[in-house]
Amino acid sequence: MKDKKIVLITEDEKVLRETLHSGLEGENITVVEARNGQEGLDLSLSLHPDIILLDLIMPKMDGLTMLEKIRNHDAWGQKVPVILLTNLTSSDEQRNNDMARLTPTYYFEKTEMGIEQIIEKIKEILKVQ
Amino acid sequence: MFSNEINESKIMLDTIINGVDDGVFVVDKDFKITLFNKKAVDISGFSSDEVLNHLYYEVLNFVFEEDEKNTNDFIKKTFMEGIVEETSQNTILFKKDKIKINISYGATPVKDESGSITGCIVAFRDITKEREIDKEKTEFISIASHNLKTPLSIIKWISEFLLDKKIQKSDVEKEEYINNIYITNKGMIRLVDNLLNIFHIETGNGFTIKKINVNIIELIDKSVEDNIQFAKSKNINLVKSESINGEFIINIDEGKIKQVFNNLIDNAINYSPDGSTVNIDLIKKEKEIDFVVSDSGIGILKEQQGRVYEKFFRGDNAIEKETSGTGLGLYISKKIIEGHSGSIRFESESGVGTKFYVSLPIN
Repeated sequence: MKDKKIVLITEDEKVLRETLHSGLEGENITVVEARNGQEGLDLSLSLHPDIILLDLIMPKMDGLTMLEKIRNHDAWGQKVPVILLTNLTSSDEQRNNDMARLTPTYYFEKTEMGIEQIIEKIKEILKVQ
Repeated sequence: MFSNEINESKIMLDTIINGVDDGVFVVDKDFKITLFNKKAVDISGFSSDEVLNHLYYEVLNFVFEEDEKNTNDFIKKTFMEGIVEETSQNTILFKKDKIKINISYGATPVKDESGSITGCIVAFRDITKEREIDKEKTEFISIASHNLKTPLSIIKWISEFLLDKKIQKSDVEKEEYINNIYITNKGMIRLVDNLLNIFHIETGNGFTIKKINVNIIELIDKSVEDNIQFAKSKNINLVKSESINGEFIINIDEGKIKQVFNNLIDNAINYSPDGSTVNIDLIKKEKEIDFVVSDSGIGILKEQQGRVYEKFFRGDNAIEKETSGTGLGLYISKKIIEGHSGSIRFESESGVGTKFYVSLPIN
């Protein structure tokens, strides 16, 4: 039996985090939750998740700072797929440049994207059913 | 007679030039400053003596905001091309004391009868304050839209989750999700109300204090009643002091003061541990009354106590505990109390509790 994939949800909004968690739970996925960027970074570096869902605006450390630290950390960090989830509008040029630089990264606006589409995308990236 | 008329015209022109609300200076064809009005002195910090008969670009330093490259050439351009030049990009003027200010300007060529350009009139204005207001507005809209989208995403995701037949859910889970939608929706209604309040406060539109004689005891009772359900859900004991009894008439805006009381009681419950007590007291003094709400909740971190009345501010410990809140209640409450010539203050210790005092003048 193959190893379970680890999904790290880094999101400060409890209900969103728990809803995503419930939607993802299955026999082939282990879901880990982080409530802010600092927790997300610590868990990332210790667990090396297979994918990271990342909110942008969070207390303690924002999503892009966390992502930058992961990308610069090691070989795993350079490659791990990251899905940015946000309620910000995409008009901030600096942020868009940062996101383009910190690939491989996917960007979803929470009110645009349904939870099912996000779950499908995660499964597609992880190649699990 | 003729020279008198010229004199009168000159006096009138001087009065106009020194009376206008824009900085105005005139540059002759040798690029020397020949006129520098009072407002130009106020804005730039240079006295007339320091600029008159000096080459304008040796005294005044206009630069682009983005790269601080010199933009003094706009005056020369007006001379060369004979057209009116207006601020095309964000421009900065270095004042005499080297402080940078945002300005907008317009440079107009002066032509003689034959059409030759003999000088240039420059009018400029300090727009630092306008720029700050613009920036604040943009930030406000950006935070407000983010804060509105968060509950919208929650409701969207949970509804989709509940509707998805492929995902198994027990009745208990379903109830929990519906409860989350309910709470989120309630929070959103409060957020929209608060945002409208702020809009009224900041535009001065609709934020008027309409005072009437009110029995404050009855008002406190109503406020407590409004919060009983919330207190019950957290098994919190709302205790009124014995002084909240009978009748005590005071001249206030009933709706707005109730909003403040509700806010303070709601906060006290929200940030208190389940099963604890929230005390509500009324202290009647000679010239004012104190409405006091005290809790044994998470408190406000000492280093953040100065920021409590800031718009959208939420304490780190409140965020950490994942409590709900918009960061707007205390900002609005303070404005309402100030509108009554009263005051709001608090004592708080992190992990011990918070005591808020609202003082309202009796007359």
